Amino acid sequence: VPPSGVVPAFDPVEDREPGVHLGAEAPAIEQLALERGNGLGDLLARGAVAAGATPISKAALGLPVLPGASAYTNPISYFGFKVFPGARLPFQVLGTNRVFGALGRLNPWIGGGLLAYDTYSVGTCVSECMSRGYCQTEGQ
Amino acid sequence: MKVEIVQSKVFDIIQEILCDRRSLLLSDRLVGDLRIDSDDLSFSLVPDIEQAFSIRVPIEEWGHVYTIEDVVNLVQRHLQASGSG
Repeated sequence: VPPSGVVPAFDPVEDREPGVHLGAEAPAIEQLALERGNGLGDLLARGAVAAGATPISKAALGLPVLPGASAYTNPISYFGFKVFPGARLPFQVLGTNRVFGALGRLNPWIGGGLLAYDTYSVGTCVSECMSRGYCQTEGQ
Repeated sequence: MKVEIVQSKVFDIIQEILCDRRSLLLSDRLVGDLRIDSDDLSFSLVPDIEQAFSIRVPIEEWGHVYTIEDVVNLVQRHLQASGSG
């Protein structure tokens, strides 16, 4: 009986179940993410939300600050003041009747909603790619 | 301009910002009592007051305005300084 020699160690990649990679080449996770809509438009939308929530000093803009009032504003509210000063509602929304003031106050909530949506999307995306074997790990 | 007229105009402007025709007192604090939005003070009240009375108030002077009465006094002072009071 010839000697059996040394049995090579099990390689989870080399010795994986046959047929896993017999189909079309699996897309990279980045491509999968783009296919799911996480592209340039989404990036711009999130950038706009983040930029709109940036606090700006009223003093730096040459605006008066009354006692007890916040010394900061946001770009959305300031934009409305400069470009559409007459954009006001006959009722108050979120404590103001200025359209852009309300939008500026709503903006962090939009950001929170997008963050929750992104968290959900990333979670389902990773879960999906892992279940399909798309995810690559180091060494593969 | 009579102080009653100034008061009436200031009340109108504040009621318009609040979207509420509630009765106001001269002693009402703009932030503490009326809870006017911070940006509304800077972006609505100040320009509306200046436009209504055709005055220009240095921004430092707004830093001492707590109540409606302070607004009225500030307007009166500037109207008198400009010769309109």
